[in-house]
Amino acid sequence: MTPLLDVRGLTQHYRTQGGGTLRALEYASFMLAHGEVLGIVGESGCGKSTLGRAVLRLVEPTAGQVLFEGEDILRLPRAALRRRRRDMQIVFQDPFGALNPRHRVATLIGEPLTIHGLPGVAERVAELLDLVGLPPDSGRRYAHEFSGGQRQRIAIARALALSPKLLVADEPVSALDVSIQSQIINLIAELKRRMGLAMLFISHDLSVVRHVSQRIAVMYLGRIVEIGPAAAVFEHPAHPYTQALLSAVPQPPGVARRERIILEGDLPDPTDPPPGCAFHGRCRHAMPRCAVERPALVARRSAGGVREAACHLYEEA
Amino acid sequence: MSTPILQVEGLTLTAGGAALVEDVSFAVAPGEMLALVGESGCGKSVTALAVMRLLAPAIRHAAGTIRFDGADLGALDGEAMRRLRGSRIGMIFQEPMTSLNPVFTIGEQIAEVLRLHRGLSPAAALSRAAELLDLVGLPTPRRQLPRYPHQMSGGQRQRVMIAIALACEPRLLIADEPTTALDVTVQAQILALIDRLRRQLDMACLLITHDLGVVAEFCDRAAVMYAGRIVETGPAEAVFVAPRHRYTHALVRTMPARNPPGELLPAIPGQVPPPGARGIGCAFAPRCDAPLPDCAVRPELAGAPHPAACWNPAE
Repeated sequence: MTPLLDVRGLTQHYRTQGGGTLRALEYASFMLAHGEVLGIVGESGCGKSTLGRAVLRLVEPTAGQVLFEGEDILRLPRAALRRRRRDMQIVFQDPFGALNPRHRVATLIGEPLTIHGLPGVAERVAELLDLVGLPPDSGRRYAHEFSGGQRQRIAIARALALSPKLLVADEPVSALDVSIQSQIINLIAELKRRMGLAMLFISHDLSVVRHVSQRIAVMYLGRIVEIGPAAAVFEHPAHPYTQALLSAVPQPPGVARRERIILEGDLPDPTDPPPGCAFHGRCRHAMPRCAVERPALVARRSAGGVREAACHLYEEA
Repeated sequence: MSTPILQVEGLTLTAGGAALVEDVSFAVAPGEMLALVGESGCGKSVTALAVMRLLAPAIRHAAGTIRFDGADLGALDGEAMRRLRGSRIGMIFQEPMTSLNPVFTIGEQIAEVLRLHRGLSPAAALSRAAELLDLVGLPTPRRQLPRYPHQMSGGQRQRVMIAIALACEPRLLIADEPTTALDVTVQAQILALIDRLRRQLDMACLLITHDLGVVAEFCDRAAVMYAGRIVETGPAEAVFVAPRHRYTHALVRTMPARNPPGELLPAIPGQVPPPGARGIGCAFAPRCDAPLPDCAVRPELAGAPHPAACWNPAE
């Protein structure tokens, strides 16, 4: 069966003011099945948000292919792209910035339907309010009258208005308090179940990603360094960066702690990435070869299933 | 517990007639790390600002005393308080970029504190600044001195903020969400650093945070705040392993890491009530999964093995 999404060698470079090249995303390849949630984790500047935007062609990628049901989004002419956009939507971290303060909630949620010239806007808005758990009279109010959690419900309702097949959720719960965060995570899980929605779930919060994703991709300095089933990546991380990242999360009481691996130094400059493996300068397993030769993502069978990791430790010498 | 260096008693803060913080009491001993933990709007940050006497003009210190090393901070004049801040009480905030001056080098900014509070000569201050950068784990400290804040990463800037806060060897460090803006691997570095320094310098530490994982791992004691009040307090481990207040209990249970992947999280319904709409009973009762008729009356912070303000504490 054709996957919903087949991303091949997706690359996004930006020119910097000094005439250099910022390699925000380098050769990302992965597949996403219908109804599947792929979590994308990594720290600031690792390229996870760029990946989400590049897949939707909200930026114009430098190279690569994004096959959506077999059709390359990056090669579509404007009009065809616009029709395709019904199938792919995005929810951002900041529900304050994403909602126009001058429009009523009904207008905000109904806008995608209006833009695409679809009938029955009022009925659909009422349906969507109910779907995301907002009171029926919310449509007459303005976004600023709602709390952060409720605003995120509004943003989700709008993203779902056209019944998309793919939702890119970029840090959707990061701005919310713990008690509100759980409400929104439950809502997202419920919608996924009811609508068969596939998702790219981008977050720096590893425990949230673990909770919602079937598979997880770990990014470092613009590249996917490990990708595989969520349980395999979390319980048996292969890449030394994944190991360090997971070990750094302070665990709530009652959850077993990992032996902490404190990373020395800072993230390298993405306009001047180190040669070889970008992580080698901070890696406790670094070998001479890591400084000169970039490791490829290699499939590897281990506890929890097959996953790919880009590390010389796992290559045949 | 040894004599506390900071003792807050019955602190009440109001704004426009509504109480932001009500009847808050806690103490921190030398070398101890106490967490004030809670969600947005619970009053934890404004409590820390009150301790430093840095409240916004619209906020009134309506009741309660704050004693630092035996002295009533409320009785100090502005000049005495200024001498205390930055010398005997150090502070670090969430966003190091906005706390550092972009037009001065970090060497100048650390040296300023030492010249102001310690009267060191410019040369002596710079040399001490390099020592401090070494203490907070910045490599090649001498070469860091001429750098500007924008030339550093977020983690490096937060290390500089800690160096400034520690410049005069404070007795108390107030850290308001010091790692919230940082990545998780950097967060681990900074928390390990604060933890090492408070032991090394026998410094009391008041950590303001919303992150229960951070509290459980780094703090000795925790005070959980909800809607302007401390609702539970005790050893950090006990508060989160065996929470008594229904709010703490629900908060711990709802964390994704505590639940099997993919399953519905036991969410807490509703929202935190804003100041002025917190009622006369337990402010958490409308969201509580085990309320009693008694909850219409405000419960006292009491009970064993550690105090909680709850009529129906969790077992």
